[in-house]
Amino acid sequence: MLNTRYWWLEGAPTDQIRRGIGEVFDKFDVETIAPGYGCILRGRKVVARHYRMLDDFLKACDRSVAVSRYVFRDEER
Amino acid sequence: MAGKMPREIAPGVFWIGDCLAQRHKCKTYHGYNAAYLIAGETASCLVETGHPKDFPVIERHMGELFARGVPPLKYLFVTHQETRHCGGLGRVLKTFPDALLCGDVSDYHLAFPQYEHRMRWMHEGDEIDLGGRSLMAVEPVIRDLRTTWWAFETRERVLFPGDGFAYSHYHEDGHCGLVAEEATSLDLPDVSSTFADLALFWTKVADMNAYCDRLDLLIERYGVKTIAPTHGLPITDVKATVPKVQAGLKAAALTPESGTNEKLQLTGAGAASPAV
Repeated sequence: MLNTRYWWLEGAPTDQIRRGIGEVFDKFDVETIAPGYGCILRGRKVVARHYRMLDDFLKACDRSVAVSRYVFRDEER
Repeated sequence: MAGKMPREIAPGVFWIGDCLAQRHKCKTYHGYNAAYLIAGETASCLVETGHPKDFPVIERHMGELFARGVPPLKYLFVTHQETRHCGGLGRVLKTFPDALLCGDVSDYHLAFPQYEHRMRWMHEGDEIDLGGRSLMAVEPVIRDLRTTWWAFETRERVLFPGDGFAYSHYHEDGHCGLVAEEATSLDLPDVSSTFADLALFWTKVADMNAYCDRLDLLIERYGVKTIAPTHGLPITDVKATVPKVQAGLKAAALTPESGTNEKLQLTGAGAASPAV
């Protein structure tokens, strides 16, 4: 994600984002995720695994553990 | 605004296009959706295509300039693959069959395979020669998409930052068609902050001091004299005006994002935010 649309996530207050996404998954029993750009994710196990991966990634980017800095256009991490 | 255009903001650099009006907090917010025509000695280059609705206006403005002796359109440079920046691309390439599309040309061939042979990749520092002046791809400090390039015109030192320096203006105060220094009643830090909140959401959570520092370095490195943004008012006094825009970006980063739900409560059904 840091190498595509979300170069700015590292060091951002992702706890707020995690809470927002968590509320969606708490409220709805999601069976399928149909993103605009990624592959379609079908089935509760697949959805749960990808939700965990996203949440872990966001947690690792949070400003409590990472520093926001200028990111160059072609920088890859 | 279209009636006031084309407007020459630096010698041989013409501002064309129209405003885009949207509702927010029960007010009509105007943002520019500018395009610019750069006239060299042998060729001209269009920077951005304007909003799709604006192609008839853009075409008319370019026609007026060509009738005045501006060299033919040989290049189209778009900062990135978003509708407000490249939405007229197909019609520009169709209308001007000798024009080449330049920049980061990712994905355009998928929409316009018939024009793929007229697409040219640019990398940082690459230049388009217009005769006596050129247009260079430069670091896109504040960007909407990863594929963004900014452009810099080398003779008059004009920076084309796409979504950088994006802010609305007050239609009721007659700001349409004015440069930043003429719109004296415009609260530049406030409209810059509002635009960041509604459209460039990542600027709310990143360290904008670091991005503003980088912006200062870029401006100093190239000796930028004029800034020609796609959505904000053109800046003709860089030293006086850029700090005000930066103040807006830094202020926006210190206040919570308004959020989709809160926005709906404030503006009512059918309200739109000014996507960049």
